[in-house]
Amino acid sequence: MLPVVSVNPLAALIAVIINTIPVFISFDIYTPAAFLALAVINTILVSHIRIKEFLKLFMPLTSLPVSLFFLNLFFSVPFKSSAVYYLFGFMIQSGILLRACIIFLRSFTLIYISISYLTAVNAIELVNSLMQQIHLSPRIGYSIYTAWNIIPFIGREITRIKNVHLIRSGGKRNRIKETIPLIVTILINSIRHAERASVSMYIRGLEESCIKGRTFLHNIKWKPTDTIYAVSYFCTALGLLFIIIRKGLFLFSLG
Amino acid sequence: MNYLVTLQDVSVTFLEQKHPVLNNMNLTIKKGDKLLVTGCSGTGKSTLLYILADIIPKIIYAKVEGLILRNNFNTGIVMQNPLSQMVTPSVEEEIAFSMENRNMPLKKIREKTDDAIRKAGITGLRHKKPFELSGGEMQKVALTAAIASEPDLLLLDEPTSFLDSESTSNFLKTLRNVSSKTAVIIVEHRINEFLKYIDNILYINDYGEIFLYKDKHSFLKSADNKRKLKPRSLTDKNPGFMVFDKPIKKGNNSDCLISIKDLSFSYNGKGEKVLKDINIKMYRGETIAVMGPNGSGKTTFIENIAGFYKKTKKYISFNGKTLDKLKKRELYSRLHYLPQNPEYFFLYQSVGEELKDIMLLADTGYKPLFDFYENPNRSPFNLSEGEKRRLTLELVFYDKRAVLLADEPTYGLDYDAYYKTAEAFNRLKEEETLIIIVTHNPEFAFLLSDRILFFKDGSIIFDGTPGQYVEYIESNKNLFPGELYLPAGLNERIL
Repeated sequence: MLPVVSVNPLAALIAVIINTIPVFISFDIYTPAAFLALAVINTILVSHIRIKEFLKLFMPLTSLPVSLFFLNLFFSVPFKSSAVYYLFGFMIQSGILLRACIIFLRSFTLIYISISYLTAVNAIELVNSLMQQIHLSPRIGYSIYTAWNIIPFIGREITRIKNVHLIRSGGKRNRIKETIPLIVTILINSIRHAERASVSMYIRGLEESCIKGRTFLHNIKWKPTDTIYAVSYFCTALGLLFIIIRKGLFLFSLG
Repeated sequence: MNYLVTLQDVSVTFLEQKHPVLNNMNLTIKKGDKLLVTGCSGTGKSTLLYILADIIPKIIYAKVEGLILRNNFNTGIVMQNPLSQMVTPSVEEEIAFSMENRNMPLKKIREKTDDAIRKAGITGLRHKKPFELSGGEMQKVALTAAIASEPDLLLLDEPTSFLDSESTSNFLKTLRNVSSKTAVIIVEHRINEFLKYIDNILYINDYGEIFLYKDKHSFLKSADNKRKLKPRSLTDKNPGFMVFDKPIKKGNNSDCLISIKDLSFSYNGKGEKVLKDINIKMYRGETIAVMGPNGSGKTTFIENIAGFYKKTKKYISFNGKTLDKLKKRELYSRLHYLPQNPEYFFLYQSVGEELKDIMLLADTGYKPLFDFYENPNRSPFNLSEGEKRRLTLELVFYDKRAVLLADEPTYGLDYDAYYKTAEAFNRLKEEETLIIIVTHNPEFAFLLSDRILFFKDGSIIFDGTPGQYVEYIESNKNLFPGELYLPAGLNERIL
């Protein structure tokens, strides 16, 4: 199998969508578990994930499924007929335990799939691929890049504006009064930046008329292997879902 | 039909304005023209560029009257703030962008991109992201990108205003790579730097009157324009300019306002240090010019003094108390800060509201530096760059405090505003204010300061009087070319 880094980022995105849909529409313990296993296998065999970056994003986010699990376990509306256990003085019903596990697995799987994709795929290449493969308007694509270019400066600039405003008002703090000029300055600067970027794009020839057949310096091709990867992922996911349904383990629920 | 664009009686009025910014403009731009557009702030110089490039009214809406005849041509642009125009994720893609849009064959794009990168000497920047570049590097990349696409018309909107002398010199060298067939329009206040490069000068005065000098020598001959050509040479009006060796105050602790001990700083705590081991004392009544190349830590230095960063407050003392022990109100009632970007200074939605305290003093004989009374309902954010700078200067000179930190206070100012600003700083000096000015302008530094700090790679490598500074630069010519870091014509003046 090929590593995701050499697979077109769009093919990898298709795989993520294929993996996400069954988790979204099911409310049983088997579907999210099976698709989590599929995603993990995909990560191990196919993708070259940046482990450190992955853990940095993934670990803090795991607190969400864990909290959802305990919230459901201890504070759910009780079922009418269900076996009862006691844990640390809390009454726990088997039905509630099952529901908490399902919610935990669903959210855990969705977080795992998204973070593993984000850390395996180069976002710049993804935008490039969207412009080249599905003809996302280069105006949108390059606007994303423009925003990207200023992200590293935003935090520093906000600190600057806040401090300059505070100095100008002689150090007198009034959080409500301070917020309005801060927001206005940030908004105006963002609008102005967008306007200048738009002027730059226009002057340098990015018009609607030139978008069709535009040349790209970094050509991201859709290779036959990308088709094989996407189709085989789709077939595996479909097969897995078919088995779960056939075994009567699938329970439908939207959202 | 060898013209690119012709304007006949063109007037441009923006939505929120009663009077046109450009009035009855007649101009023809032909292939190979090299035109410098100069004049007072807010007289429509940038608007003219946008009209020529068809940005107004296509992208920016304004009422346009008159006749514009335009042939098909490709345009390149370099803006004042180069980060604003970078729309791609890497330097090489930025350079290839215009060619990609013209659907040039990939092979040709690669060849031209390689060629442009090699000629501009930016091979090391090729794969860098725009936000990883310094201001000077960004401007050089923007110009290289504009030249690489071989435009018929190249527009430069105050391209060197954020650059230090060395970067400006490099920029001008890169400008020589422009094809002779390309028409180049440069909007600039710094006439001297571009004089060798241009053929014609278009001057717009305070009243919006337009003077086109088809021969730059006829412009130079005019006595009034000679004055404008030396906007940084204020020696005639300031005999004190020659006094280099006023001794720096030492030892008198009661006069020491700011003291910094072992200050090092990096933005994220772990990354590269922007400031390294700074130790310095600054005294009441001193005017200190902070100089050095782009990215050497000058702005970060004054931001630290202004208490922007919590982690370094314990290394900086104000009046004997470290900043971490001072209440904000206590510090900021005595310290003022003028940021590089004037927009950060505004608190209100109209010029009138910004100036309300000053306007109340109108009957008391208080003389404002500049005239803003014509249209007080305008938003300060809608003023031209020069007008924004003038407004912030007006406010900062009105609200006098014991310390004034000013970051590039003269950027974007025309000659008259520049001179008024220098005078206002001189008056503050007489009032024993400690003034710390970050500037790229050696003339301004020499005109006002009695002490110069020179930064390089986050360290203060020189701290002394202007006279000692001249000696230092002269003896380190291999590191700092004198013509870039000393005021123009300094030697003749000393003689």
